[in-house]
Amino acid sequence: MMLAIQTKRCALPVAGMVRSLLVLLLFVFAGCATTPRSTVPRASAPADALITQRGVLKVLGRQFTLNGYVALSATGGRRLIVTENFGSVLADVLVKPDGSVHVMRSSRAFKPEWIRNYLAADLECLFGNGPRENCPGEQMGPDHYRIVRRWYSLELRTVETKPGAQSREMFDASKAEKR
Amino acid sequence: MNLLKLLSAVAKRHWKLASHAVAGLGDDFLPSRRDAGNFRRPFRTNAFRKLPATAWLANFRRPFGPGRASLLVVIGLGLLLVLNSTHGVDMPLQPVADPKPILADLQKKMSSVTSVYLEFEQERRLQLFAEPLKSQGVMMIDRPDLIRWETTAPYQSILLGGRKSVAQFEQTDGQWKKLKLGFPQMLKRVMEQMTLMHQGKLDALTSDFTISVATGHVAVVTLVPKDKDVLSMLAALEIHLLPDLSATREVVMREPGGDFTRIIFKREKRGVKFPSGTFDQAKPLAVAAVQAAVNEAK
Repeated sequence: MMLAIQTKRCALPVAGMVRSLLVLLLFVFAGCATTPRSTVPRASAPADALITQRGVLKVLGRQFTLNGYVALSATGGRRLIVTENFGSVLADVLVKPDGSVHVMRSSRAFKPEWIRNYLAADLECLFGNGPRENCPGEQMGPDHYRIVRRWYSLELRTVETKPGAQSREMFDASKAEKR
Repeated sequence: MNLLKLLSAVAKRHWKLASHAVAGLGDDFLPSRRDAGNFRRPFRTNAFRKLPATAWLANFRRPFGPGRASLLVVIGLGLLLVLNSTHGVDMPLQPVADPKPILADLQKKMSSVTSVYLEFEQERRLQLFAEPLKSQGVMMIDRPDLIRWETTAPYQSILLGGRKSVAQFEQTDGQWKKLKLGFPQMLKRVMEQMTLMHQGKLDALTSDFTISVATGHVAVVTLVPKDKDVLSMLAALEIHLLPDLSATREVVMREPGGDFTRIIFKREKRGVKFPSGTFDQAKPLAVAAVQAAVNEAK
């Protein structure tokens, strides 16, 4: 799937001083942002499946590697469990079919607000059926996606897909971590 | 132990009949004196070679004959032995009151290991998932302080640690990319701890962990983090060693909620001379080339 990435031009015009100044101000404040204006496409996946993804999260120029396990259920919803390299769970979120978000587990690295506002949103962008106006990103390869938001960019690669129904417990919001 | 001796004695008394029974010969097919020397290899007896294909069936038609009785004895003994040995594996480990001598012995044994190459399988067991989430990789350690931890499946990633720095590479669409790491000092600390554990220098970790030892069919060194924040993520780290402390077989990272990660070491090669570039933090040598060199070395 070809996606056009729009970038702002960084060339200064040669017409009048005022116009140049305006452009310069725009250049300074907006920068040469390369934020994609395109929308990340939905990842192709069976209705019931367990998907393993490898992610590289870039925040303030620093990169962090993550593993994501996405359980999909046609009736139960979508659940994402994020771990660090050696397996510790950093975040766990459930999005029910009605769109309600349930933070099942959080950590020092991922606060509940972050999980609710960003991880759940990214999960919905790739695997949800809801509106897609807030899914800035692009597809970089057959199973390779990049989501770019103001504060971070997230590269995701699907490395394994196991079709099949997941346990009901997986989509039970009442099992969320007590806090 | 006494049970084992008793079973062994009974088994010896029943050996002759049992041999025939196991081979499905029964009383009708007792071998001649000529074949007596072949009892330990019942499938080579002439009597067995001459057996019709229906001989097994014939024995089953009279399941309580003398031959069958021996077979039942052997099956019973076998089951008892298996149960006994299984019970041994599940037997709780005995905590050691003073772990210092064992830790000193471990360090002494590991001190002669200059380098090690290990292939591992990592199993992430989450209560929610029926099956463990698996990954595979290799770990290489070269004294004094070089370490390479590489995941080879289902994704490819390399972590490299040295005296002064760490580096991480991630393969995307067939290309290796060096990452600009966040919190490199934290990762360096983790890599240092892994190196120390595999060198048996556990006393160097006492400032970060409370260390205890239990022994039995394996020796287990358990490290419990002292830092409360770390403890909230990692309840304990267990190092499973051979009873003689000569090698690490498994590392288990337990979380407070009951989930855990097992790293099972499958293949180990010591005293390896790693090819140049194995620990290069700018452009690490491909794992296939490292493995070829490791396999070639005697």
